[in-house]
Amino acid sequence: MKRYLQIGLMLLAGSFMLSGQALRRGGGPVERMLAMTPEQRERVLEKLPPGKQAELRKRFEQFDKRPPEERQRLLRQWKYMESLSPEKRELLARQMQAFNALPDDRRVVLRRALNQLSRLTPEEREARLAAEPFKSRFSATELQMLSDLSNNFPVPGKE
Amino acid sequence: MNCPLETPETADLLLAYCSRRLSPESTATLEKHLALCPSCRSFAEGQRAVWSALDSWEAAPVSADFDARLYRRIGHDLTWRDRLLRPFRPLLAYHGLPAAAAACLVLMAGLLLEHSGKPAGTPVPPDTATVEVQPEKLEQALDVMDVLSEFDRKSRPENAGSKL
Repeated sequence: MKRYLQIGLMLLAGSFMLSGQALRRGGGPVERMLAMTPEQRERVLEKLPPGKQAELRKRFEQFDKRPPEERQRLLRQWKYMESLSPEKRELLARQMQAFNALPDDRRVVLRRALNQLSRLTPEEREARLAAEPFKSRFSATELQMLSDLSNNFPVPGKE
Repeated sequence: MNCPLETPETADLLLAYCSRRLSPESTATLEKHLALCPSCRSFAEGQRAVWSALDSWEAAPVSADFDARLYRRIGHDLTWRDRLLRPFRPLLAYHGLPAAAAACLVLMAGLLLEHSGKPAGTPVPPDTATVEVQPEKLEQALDVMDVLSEFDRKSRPENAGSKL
């Protein structure tokens, strides 16, 4: 009985070692760089040309200033974007930039519409986007933005 | 001589006699007893009948494809579990050996992963040594995260947290 207990503990310890390694080594270079401590990252950055080093160092500092939960969320969202096809990724990034650049008054209107659309099923969303009363509130560019974003990106705060 | 049928210690004498495995001296002694003892004589005659029947019996010839059919049938009757375990059956006979072997393997793998690529005495974490630096890719990722962060902030409904 004691021997089985010892073997069980050995197996458990081995599993923990392996899973710990897998977590530490998981992900691509970007994720690993972002997960590093500033000291570890510095060792990687010093292999780059000085100009690039300074630029990236500044970007990483900005990233590190974000709260941990925000960093995790951004990493998750970035991984989601990476999982998309390059065309879809490009489209989403462009539409997000366009949304971010909207004047405040329009952004409030589009944000509400986007949140409503995100709660619908794909069929309901399609029907809503095609409905005349809905369409009349937006320009063609805004409608396309709403369609692309609501169909391809889970909006923050969506249940 | 005591009667072999009534004496447990010498009971096998009769069987050895009937199968012709008894020494000539013992055979002579036993035959003297058989001449006097009807129970032993009757037993010996019965045994002799069995032996002569076995001597005259000839097994039916085995068909040419007997082996092939037998192995096919054995293979058919085996479950997948039996087939998988068959090569390891001798090892499984020792209780605890499979678990110990699995524990050793897991520990060895863990130790190998723990120490691979790290020169002795060098405090450099293994991750930094193995990361391939692609500045463009990093910048691109950070750009996307900036856009995502701004979009997250600007598209979030009032009093709501992010889910993705």
